[in-house]
Amino acid sequence: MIKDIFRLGIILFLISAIATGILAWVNGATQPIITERKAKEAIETRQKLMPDAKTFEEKKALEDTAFVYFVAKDDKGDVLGYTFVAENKGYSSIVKTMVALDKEFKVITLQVIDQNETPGLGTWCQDPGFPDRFKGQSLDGLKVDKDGGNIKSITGATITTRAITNSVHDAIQILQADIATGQPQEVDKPVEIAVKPNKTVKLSQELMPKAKTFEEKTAANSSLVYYVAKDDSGNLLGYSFVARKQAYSSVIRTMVCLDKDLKIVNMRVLNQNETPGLGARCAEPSFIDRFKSKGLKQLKVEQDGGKIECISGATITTRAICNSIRDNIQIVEKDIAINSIVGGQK
Amino acid sequence: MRFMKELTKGLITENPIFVIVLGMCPTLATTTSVKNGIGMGLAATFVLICSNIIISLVKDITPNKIRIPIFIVVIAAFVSIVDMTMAAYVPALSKSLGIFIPLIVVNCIILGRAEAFASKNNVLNSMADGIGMGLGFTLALVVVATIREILGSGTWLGIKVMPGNYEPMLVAILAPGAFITLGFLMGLMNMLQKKRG
Repeated sequence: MIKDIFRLGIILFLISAIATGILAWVNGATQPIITERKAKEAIETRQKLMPDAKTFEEKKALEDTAFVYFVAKDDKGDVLGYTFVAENKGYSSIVKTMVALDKEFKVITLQVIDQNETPGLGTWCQDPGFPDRFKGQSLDGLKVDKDGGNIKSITGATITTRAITNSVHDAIQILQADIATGQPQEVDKPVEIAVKPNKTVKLSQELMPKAKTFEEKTAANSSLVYYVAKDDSGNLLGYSFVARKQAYSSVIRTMVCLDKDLKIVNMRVLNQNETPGLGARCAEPSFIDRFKSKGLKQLKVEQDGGKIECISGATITTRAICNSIRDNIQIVEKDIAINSIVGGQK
Repeated sequence: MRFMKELTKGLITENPIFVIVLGMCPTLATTTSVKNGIGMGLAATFVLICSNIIISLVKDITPNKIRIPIFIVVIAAFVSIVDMTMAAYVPALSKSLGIFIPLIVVNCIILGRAEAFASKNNVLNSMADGIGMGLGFTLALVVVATIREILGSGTWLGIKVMPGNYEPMLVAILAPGAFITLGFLMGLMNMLQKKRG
């Protein structure tokens, strides 16, 4: 009897274990694609609603960190307006609406991006003419006509219209309050430096201020040119090099500075042409914090078993940068070992 | 050949929707448009073929007492794979079908064929049964969806087929319309079967 139960249990366990293993593999393969696609859709919609905007700066509201909005700026850096996604329970589903506001917090336009309302009634909210009801409205007018506002309800779908209107109204309130209290942050524009070989030293000096001399070396068995940094007493401080690798949509060049234990002390992304808002975030100043103090052992993205946190929705970009740095540190490490055995110096 | 016999029975004579009357829920829910119907049918067919093959392969080592949990684990695993793959590669279709993709797990056709056929027949015939039943399901979905989409939206596969001033029959898109359409089709099917003798 017990033996029977045991046998049944083992068989069921084995089959479940195999199924789970296969699912984990498929999940690993598809998750990055799904996240990146969702993020890309959001960016495309944002750009469509505010075509004049050149950059979208992501912000989280201080009062309610679940509320994320974007500050839209033109190519001069002037604020054009804001975009966000408002959501609310409609008649039979959660309705998500992406809204674009001008800098006076009036609605420029909006688009319902997710809904599952009654066909022929609530679903009119995705009709091309629906956003016109909201254009130019500000906070005071943002209620349905039945509640005393300016928004004309869809015939037979008051509940859907009200849900959308109220979600937009509440979101604007949070946003206005946040803009009033928050400090506008200066975003460092992505630094595009075409580093010619003799400028590499200058940049290394900027990133490793304590160093006095940079000795150029070419790694044996590789074309990598790297620099040995020493202080004014001739003590070894560390190394620097430029890593390059094809990422999602461009070749990314990153200058990396290591200490003498081959751990990253500083770095800077020199060139990139990745997806704005996703991979392009590698140019943000905070990106390098993910790499600081990391050594070879940790230099893989989390998905590959390392300690480098990927930019959300830009795993491919982060992985490319991370792996290019890692590969080059390995080359430098090997070269140091060869040189110390051979005892040669360039 | 036995293989072809097992395959073709699912298309008409033992059609899972009109004859065996299984898988009613997704039929009613996903036939609002032909595109959704095809998507649903093909996804379910894929799961049906795969689960039939696996269940037939392990039929000799599945103890009778725990066969149902084992069937469900296998079916659920394939459905999850379909769900994740669709979300990654055809997100628009995945969004339209929404909750009905995960609900393929409890689509009675799949569990029904696993119990009635795959667990008692060899792999080749089980595969044929899966193909036939899956395609029969898809066929039925397309027929129902064609009627509902033309009447309820004036389109077929998104292309306008009704004259410009056609006022769509909203009821065709809603649940009652689904029941009515299905009822008429089943009645028609029964009439044709009786005539054949």
